Amino acid sequence: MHRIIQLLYRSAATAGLLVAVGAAAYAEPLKLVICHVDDRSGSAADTGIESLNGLKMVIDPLNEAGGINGQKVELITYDTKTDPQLAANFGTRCSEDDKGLLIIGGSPSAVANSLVTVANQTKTPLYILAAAAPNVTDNAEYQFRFGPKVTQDSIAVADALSKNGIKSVAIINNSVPFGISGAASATEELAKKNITVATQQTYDVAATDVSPQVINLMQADAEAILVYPYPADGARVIRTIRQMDIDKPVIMPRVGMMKAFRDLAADTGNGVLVPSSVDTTRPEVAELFKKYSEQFGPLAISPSPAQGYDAGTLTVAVLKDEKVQAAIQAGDLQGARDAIRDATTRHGDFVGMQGTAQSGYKFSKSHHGPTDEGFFVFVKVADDGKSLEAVDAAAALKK
Amino acid sequence: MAANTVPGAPRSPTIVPVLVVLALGIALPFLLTSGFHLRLAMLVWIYAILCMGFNLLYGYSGQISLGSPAFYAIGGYAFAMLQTMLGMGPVSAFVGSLLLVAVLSLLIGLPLLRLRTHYLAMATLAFMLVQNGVANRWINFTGGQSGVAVPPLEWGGEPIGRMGIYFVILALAAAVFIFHDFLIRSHLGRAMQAIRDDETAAQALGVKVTRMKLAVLVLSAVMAAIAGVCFGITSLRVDPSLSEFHVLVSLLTIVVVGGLGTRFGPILGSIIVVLLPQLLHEFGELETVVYGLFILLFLLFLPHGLSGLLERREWRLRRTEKKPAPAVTRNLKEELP
Repeated sequence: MHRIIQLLYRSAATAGLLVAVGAAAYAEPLKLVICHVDDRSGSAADTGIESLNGLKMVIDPLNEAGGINGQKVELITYDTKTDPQLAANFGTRCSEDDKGLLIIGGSPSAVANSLVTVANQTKTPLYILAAAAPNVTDNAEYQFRFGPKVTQDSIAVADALSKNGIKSVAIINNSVPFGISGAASATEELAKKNITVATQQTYDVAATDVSPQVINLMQADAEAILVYPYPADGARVIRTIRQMDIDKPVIMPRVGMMKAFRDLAADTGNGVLVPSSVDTTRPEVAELFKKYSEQFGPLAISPSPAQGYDAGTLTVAVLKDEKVQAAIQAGDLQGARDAIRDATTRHGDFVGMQGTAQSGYKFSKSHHGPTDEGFFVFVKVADDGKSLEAVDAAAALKK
Repeated sequence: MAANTVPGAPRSPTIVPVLVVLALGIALPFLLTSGFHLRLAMLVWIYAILCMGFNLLYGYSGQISLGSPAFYAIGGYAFAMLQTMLGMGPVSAFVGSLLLVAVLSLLIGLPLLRLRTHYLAMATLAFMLVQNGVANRWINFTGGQSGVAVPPLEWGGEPIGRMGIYFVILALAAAVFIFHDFLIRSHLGRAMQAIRDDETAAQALGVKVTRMKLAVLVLSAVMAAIAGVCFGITSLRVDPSLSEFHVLVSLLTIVVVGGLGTRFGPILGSIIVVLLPQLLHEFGELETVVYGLFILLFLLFLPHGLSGLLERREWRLRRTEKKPAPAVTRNLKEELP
């Protein structure tokens, strides 16, 4: 009797195993779904659109060539309109309804923060694009950043100022998160180089008149001015600075490169210095921007297409990864997401279109993003805002 | 005159429609096909709670206060920080956050409620901006733009799943909804409407105007705080975006679409405002334009919103059924010497 029961158990176990193996063997492979969840309207529309175009420059030719192992990459796009709660909804929709393998997006920091929560909750890998917030990849498991944190811009600025013997700086920033965190990180990094902040002025992002704050800058008589604005208010600040004949070097991280700022500032923007994570003196980067302009229309140097392109490049590399492919072919969604997370750290130390030829991304390191040192070059707004020129920071900041 | 611009409240003698709505809420998770849909349902209830407070304050009492997003954020932050900084459990943190918001709104209400109309709107808007500024700038305390993580709700040492969280939120929403309905249908609701229509006349009728306005402000703030806590347990994070303009815009849109000063307006409006962006996603780049057009059409053709349309129709029908009443009045008049 005992042997019969044992036999029955064994038969049941064998049948169960066969069913499981059979199910795995006939499991439908996962679709290669990735989602771009970012602003295409709202305050960061330019960055979202440009990064999406950069991403398409990698994905579209890949699909035209047949995709990965015969499977095309399906790109789903969501416009977050600078609304973090909408971003969280779209992120969740991507993970749970679209069965997305990977989320790419989050140019404004608030949107990126929302997506980080979604990534952690749903265990979906997230490639963050332009967000400047310093800690979105602290203790990160599923999230990786392509845009440098604002602290890294500040390190580059403090380095350049220090090398040129500048000892006092005035900071002016708007009251939105980018302005506040930019000014805070700059103050911290400047202090490390013994550079004094002569004054720090904050204005409302919608303020039409920033002359009270600019007068205070003038009175502080610092050797250089550091501005953390959004495009429209940045143009108002630079116009006011020029109207008051303040003849000091003006450094405007990130926003100085944006087309909206340069268009609005026009001739008054000339000479504004910007630490740039894109080095167009590199031939491959120049080629990327040439192709971009041919495909999507004229564009001056901007990190966003490069970030989208780099995110796309790494996406393709991880989707081709052997372990990722095994999970995809087995139809194991969470297994594929975890494999993509692990493959990102394996393939993610690379020099992309952002950064310099020596310094690129370090996703194997704990902060999951660009390297802290040597990632930036300086550019200068020129030709009444129509172009950006590579510039030697030493010459531009010379007293 | 004010009664022409703000719909009068139907004082339905029955709570049955409210219970029907809540029964639908209970059935909803079993009809939905994905966790994402459940998340949307949770957001609908969260916005409904937030807007029910705003409805009492603005729709029924006529106090144009734009500070609700600030209390929404403070509620969420307090719930998170009482747990992470003081080690409180979720229940005591919940009670603590509501008490904190109640005291704060009382302190703010005392000077601000002396103001009326757009002055009150401006002052409460300024309060929202100050709160947002503090949340953004006091980085060491509030975490700046990254905000504060909310510990997940647990049951028996295990995190509660999305379905469980939905029912927690539904229970809170039900409590607020029933209370909202009770207030509207009670003498307090009539007192609130009297204040809205004419403060002086209300005072002459014996309504303690200042005390009533303050009570409604505190109540509305506490409801906003409940919504903030619910958002925290849904998203496991609170950050300054809770008191940014898009929340205020959503609040006002819900009011327009759902109907100001109506029983079901906050829920109907929340359904539209939460679901519409998901449905309009198909329009691609035209999505924002279509959304704007939709709101414009509501403003033009349904100024009292969806709920206003339904409730006013119901009310009119009831009034028509009671037509003999004027005849009695006329007869009485005829009997007078």
